[in-house]
Amino acid sequence: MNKNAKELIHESLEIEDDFSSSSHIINSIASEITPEQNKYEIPSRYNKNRLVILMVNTNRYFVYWELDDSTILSNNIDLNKEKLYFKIFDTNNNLLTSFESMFALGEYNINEKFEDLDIFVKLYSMKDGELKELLCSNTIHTFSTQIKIPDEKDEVWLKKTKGWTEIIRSSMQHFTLGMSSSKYIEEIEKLRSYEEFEKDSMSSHTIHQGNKND
Amino acid sequence: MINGYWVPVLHSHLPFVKHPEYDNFLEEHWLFEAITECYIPLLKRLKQLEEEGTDFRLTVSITPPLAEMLADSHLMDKYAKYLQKQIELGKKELNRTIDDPYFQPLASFYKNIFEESDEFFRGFLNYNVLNGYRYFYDKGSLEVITCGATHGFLPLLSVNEQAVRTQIEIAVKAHQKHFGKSPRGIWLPECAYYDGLDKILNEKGIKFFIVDSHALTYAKPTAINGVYAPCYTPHSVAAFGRDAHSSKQVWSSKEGYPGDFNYRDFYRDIGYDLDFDYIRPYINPDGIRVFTGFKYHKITGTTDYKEAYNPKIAKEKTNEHAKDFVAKREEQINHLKHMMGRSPMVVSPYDAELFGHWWFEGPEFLYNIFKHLNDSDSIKAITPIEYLEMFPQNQIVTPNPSSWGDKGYYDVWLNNTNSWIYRHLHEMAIRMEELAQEHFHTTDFDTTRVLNQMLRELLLAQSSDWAFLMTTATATEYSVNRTKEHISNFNELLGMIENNNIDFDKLQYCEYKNSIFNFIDFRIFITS
Repeated sequence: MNKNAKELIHESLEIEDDFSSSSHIINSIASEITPEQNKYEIPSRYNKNRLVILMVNTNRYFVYWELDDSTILSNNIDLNKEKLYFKIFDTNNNLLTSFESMFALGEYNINEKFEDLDIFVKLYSMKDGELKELLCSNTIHTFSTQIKIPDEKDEVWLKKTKGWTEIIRSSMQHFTLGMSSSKYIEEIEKLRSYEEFEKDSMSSHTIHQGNKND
Repeated sequence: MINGYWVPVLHSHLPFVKHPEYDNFLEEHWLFEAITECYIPLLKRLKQLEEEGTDFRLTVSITPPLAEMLADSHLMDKYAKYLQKQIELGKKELNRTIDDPYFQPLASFYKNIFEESDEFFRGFLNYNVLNGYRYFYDKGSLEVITCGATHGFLPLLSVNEQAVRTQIEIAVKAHQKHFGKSPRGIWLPECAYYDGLDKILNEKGIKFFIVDSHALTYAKPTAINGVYAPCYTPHSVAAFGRDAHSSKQVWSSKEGYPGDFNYRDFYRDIGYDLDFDYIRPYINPDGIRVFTGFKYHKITGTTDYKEAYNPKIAKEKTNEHAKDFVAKREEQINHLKHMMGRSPMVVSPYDAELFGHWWFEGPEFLYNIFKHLNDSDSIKAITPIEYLEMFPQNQIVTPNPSSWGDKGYYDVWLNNTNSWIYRHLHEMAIRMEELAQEHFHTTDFDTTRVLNQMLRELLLAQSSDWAFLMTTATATEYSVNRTKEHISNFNELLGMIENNNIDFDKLQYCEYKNSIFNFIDFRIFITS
């Protein structure tokens, strides 16, 4: 790895927090316009089962849901008396957080930090003291806020030219692939296995170092 | 010896706005102002550079909605009339200011600008601004890249993968339609990236995209050269990270060059300053005062006191600032080269409309940058593809989800002002997918028309501009109304399919007004 990597990363981040480009020009162009009367009707609900989680920022996630009439009826849910229960899990089924609602249609902001995880939401009703799963949301991969300087095994380089694609690891010899570059993810996995094998069979000093910087 | 490279990128985008039901519709002027103040001045400077034998490289995104509007004969007819009206106002201003030693030269200055724009539009551009971009694209000095079909904020649409695929697929097709070749790069709408997007980009033949710095610095693993070298994603698409230093020099309202007191003041405009009866023919037909483009004052200072603008002094300033910008890039690149052991690159992306609209002298500044770069023996402007050809070996990382918006993530496009739209966008995508499957083999002409229009309405509703303008509260009513219009149209058209009862007047009106993408085929929604 480049010995100046930390400094280069620092310079890349140096003024990130002081400056953003959010003030798009459309803002100044559009500021001239006049209010219009609202003319269009849109559905207030779709009467469909729906549970969605969306990412907002590193500390906020947005969830919206709708339960259709038949689900409410078939599960004997009386939202005047009962609640809906929402639980957020990671893909290892660790419970991260939860919230409740008494509305069949709603939205909620989860103000928590989930660092670099695959997460999803489940919606439950409560029957006889037990949770019954009604809906499961999409899965999202959350933001990362950490610098993860690669060690030798994680530092992988790709040489991509018109004729071929070549993967180079800091810790081992080059592999040259054919034109189908999309295949190289599989190759990375193979390389990882190969490296594990090599770790067992030879000294790390014998592994060829890739020339990364040109 | 060349120590490194500067990669300038201009993102040219306006949302699709077309109101054929009106002779003069205020929001259509967004386009007309951008053509006159940004696109034509830029293309004129590029032509000038070419004629002077100055080498330059510039990457420009022309988003599909912008390309569609620039190629729309109805809008371009209106634009030609708009120019004539501006020239007429210029002539009136010459008479009005005849005894004013400060403003009379400025009236003449603006009249000449509009006359020259008209001549350039009719001459070199042959009534189509895209001809100018095509000219330099074909010569290789300009790398034109695409964007999302309607600038949809892809991470928030990705609940339905087909919605994202369709945004990219139609973007590629629109690029092919307007430029005769497939795009090699994409400007991700709002530079917004999410985990897995690179797979779709790779499948669509995209070679590179631009991200904000924290997409690479917080990538897995971190990009060890920061943003000063591209990285390949797991699906081998190159990600170029924005350099904040060079962006800040131009973007920052406090420290940026555009804030120099000698530059033209954006806000003082005769549309607001002059007698109502005099200016009335040149403002909104409803009598609402708007910017006319005739601005006679310089920034002057931080108070409301404004002095007369002097174009000659402002022009000299652009040269001074360009020289400073190039010197700072040389210094930055020489420093980076020493640290990296390879030739670094500095990627500077900006909204194209910054140059000319907000910063009137911006196109001249760019012209001067290329003149100074031409004299530099240590840095050179290139395109992302050229950098990749020279340096094909780059680190593989998984970029961090991010955007270039305020705070760097998705807040601007998802907050309490606009969260209501996503429920509808997602439902529309689901219905579109179901209908595309159900009617995939239909041969009925009218059913196909309805389904095609439904896809247009969905795409137009997805435009990130509406959510953005709701957040900034500068055009909330129009943005809410536009979003609701497309949701409403979609559902009306859906009703026609479900009830097997087509309202041809409504269908025809939607096709006429929201006429984007004449090549559209609803089947793309599942084949993409």
